[in-house]
Amino acid sequence: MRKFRNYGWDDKLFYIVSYFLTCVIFVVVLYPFLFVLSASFSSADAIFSGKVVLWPVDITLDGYKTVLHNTNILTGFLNSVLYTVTGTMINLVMTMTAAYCLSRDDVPGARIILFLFTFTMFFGGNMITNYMLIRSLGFLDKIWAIIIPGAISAYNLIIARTFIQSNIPRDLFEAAVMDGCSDIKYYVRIVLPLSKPVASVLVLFYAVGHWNSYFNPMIYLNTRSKFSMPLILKEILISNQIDPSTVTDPELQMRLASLAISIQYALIIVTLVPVIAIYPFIQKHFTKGIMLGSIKG
Amino acid sequence: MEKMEWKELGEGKWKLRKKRLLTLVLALALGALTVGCGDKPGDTPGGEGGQGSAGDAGSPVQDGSSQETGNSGETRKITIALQQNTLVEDYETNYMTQKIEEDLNIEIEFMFLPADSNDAKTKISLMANGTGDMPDVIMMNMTGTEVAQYGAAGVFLPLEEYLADASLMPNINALKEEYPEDMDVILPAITSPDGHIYSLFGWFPEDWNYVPFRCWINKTWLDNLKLEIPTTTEEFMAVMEAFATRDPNGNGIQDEIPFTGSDKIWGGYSPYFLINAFVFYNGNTQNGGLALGEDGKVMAPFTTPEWLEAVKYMHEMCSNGLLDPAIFTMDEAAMRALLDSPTNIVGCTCAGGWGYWSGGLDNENFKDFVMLPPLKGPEGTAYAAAFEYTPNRCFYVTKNCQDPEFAMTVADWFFQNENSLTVRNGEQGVDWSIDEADTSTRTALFASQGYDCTLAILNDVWGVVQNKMWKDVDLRYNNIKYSRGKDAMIIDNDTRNADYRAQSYSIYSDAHPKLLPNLVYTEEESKAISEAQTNITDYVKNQLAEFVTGNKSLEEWDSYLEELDKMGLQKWLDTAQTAYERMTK
Repeated sequence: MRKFRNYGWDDKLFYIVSYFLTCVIFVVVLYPFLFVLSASFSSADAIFSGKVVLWPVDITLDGYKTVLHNTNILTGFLNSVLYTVTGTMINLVMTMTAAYCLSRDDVPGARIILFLFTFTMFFGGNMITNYMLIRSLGFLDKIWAIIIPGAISAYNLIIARTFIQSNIPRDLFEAAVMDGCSDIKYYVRIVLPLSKPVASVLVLFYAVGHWNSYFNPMIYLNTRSKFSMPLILKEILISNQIDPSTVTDPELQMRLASLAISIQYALIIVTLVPVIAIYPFIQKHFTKGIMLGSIKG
Repeated sequence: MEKMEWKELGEGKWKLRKKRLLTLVLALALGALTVGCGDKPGDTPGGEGGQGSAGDAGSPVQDGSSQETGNSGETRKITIALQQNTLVEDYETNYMTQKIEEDLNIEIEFMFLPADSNDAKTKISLMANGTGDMPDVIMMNMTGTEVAQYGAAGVFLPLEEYLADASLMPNINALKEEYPEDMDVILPAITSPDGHIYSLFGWFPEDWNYVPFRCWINKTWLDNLKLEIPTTTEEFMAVMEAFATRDPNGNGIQDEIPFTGSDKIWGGYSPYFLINAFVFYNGNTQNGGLALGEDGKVMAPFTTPEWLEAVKYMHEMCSNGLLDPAIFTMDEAAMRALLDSPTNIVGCTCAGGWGYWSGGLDNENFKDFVMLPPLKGPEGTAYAAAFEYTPNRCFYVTKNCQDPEFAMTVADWFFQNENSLTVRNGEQGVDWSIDEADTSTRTALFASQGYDCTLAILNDVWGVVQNKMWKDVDLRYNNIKYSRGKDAMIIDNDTRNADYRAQSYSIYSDAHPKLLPNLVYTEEESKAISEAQTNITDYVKNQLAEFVTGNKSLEEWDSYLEELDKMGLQKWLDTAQTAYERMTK
């Protein structure tokens, strides 16, 4: 490592500017998060009158108490966990398998199949046709409506395929076959273990997608006990918005709003925690995986 | 890196680990599969024990499917779609659900729409595309145009024949006898322009809501300065002058803001309070601000010479520093911060209620204020902005309903008086009562206004998590006398809530000329004027701020009138007049 003062002036300038920009971006990204965190510990009145700027005002745990006592939120949370875990598992199995098959150049029609996958990245049926498809499949109001559509994302498939192609030499396959290894055995015992970096990237992409997914559960689920977290979250966020012209009882609605605001920030934090918690475990693979997918080092 | 993995491959332990992991994955996948398969279409999520049982997303308790007989006089089933509300604990075990099911011997199956109205409407339009997934009835608020569109498309069934059948819908038909004056307003209001009625209604007028521009004046300051409550615009100006210059809060600093308000809070746009001392203006709460003139014709208050007088008056206040120009820009947070300042610095403001002071009735700053009756203008005009109540559209029978008659009998349940009260207030005898014994204590509160209190709220279930009613499902008829009972709510022997409401009725509710009813336009008319209406109301509001703050000189009044003409004011007025004549015929 060279010392900073030994850098040429142009390098110095480059580092100063890029560090400065990084800091600015860091603050811009961090501030909303800190605000939500502080607001979740502040009283509703303080939030309403704009007193919360950075640090909590009138510290209270009311929001968290309400969140943890609300059965809807608990159900929603557990449903989200269920959808995320099963959904990600299906995603992973499907994507990795497809990616491996498409990475082999001896699969007949691999190029056409890959083209069909890529096609879906640019063209898709609209909302209505999707809905009719899901209905015909009998998936309405079932977990399948959420986890089966989009089981493979073409984008992730391409990442995984490129990774396998560029990191697992074909010679390996030939050597394994020589030793009497079958195709499936090779996939399970050699390809999968070697693809851990890209698999962890996929897990992250898919899991966060499932965790935050609002539209599909909103459209396809009708039973409250199946609702996922974002639906419940939206429900609570909505009750904070008052449109006096449509509300029949503005005075009481206002009281409701202060109840809602105290829980909404706590709820956002509760929803964020699981996602934040998996990052450290996956992060070490993350940059490695996504970079290796693109260029062979 | 690759080398490392190679080494790992060589290790014998790896195989064992991998095998275990694989087994685990398989077991989990299998588990998920079986859980998901428990999910048959006929299931209702667990009747008794099911509520809140966490994580039962995929595995509802199977019950009731054996009783699905339907036509043999046994329990009949109806599917109701409604917007989920976060304050309802559990719709299945809900008191109201069970009461309906017992009273009518039916079984209700719920289908939940998103809490966000736009999302809910997206979902409905998706469902409407196919057959078979629609519920029997949908209960949510929609606009007249939306209802008319679904009606015309055949998604919602016309209901007028059932409505007229007294043997099918005894409760609604009884209302026609008992409260003909209300039903005379309701029926035309829910009729679509094509002459069909596609929706049932919610009717619950509450006078507190129709005069939102309540003005609060600082009584402590008046007392400090030994001033009387102003009654005319002239006196009001003098009081504001005193507030600005004579340090009424006694802190030695000139930090007083005599007259403020905010457009972003309910009933907080204080210029409308002052305008009504010159000419009646409903505060753009209905019909884009149009009103009825003395000749019984539709007119636009914002073009009258009286409006100009009001603008001049407010401009004078503003240029003397008595009217806070922030009225036109302040958002809710800024307004709340202003109202909550450590020493009270607000002399007078408009606000729909005390909820904007943190802590409400118990807020120290709020305790300084009293309600200011409408001021008398130079011509003796003393009105309060008010608008006419219109019913909600909130119940539709879909094309998927096999037996609309049955759906309508269910709907009729909601219109029996006690049931209507349950829909809003919860369980009779526990949460509310209409017994003389309970109501008589509250009647006294309203005696001075000549109202009887006919409903006593024993336990308020509106703003809390409850399991008594389906919150925000509006299908009901509550006569106005019952809303006054709700207003007489006594919390911990605290009658301030009732006092303020009674006061608001007596000083604001009747302070207006004959109101222009909420006009129902045909689709054609609505297309013709909607642009003009939006543009003009925006322009009027915007110009009011310009004139008052002095950004625009009052000499430009004529060009303001010309601009309004260019925007199509005359066409709008003519169309409104036609619609009004059609409705009053």
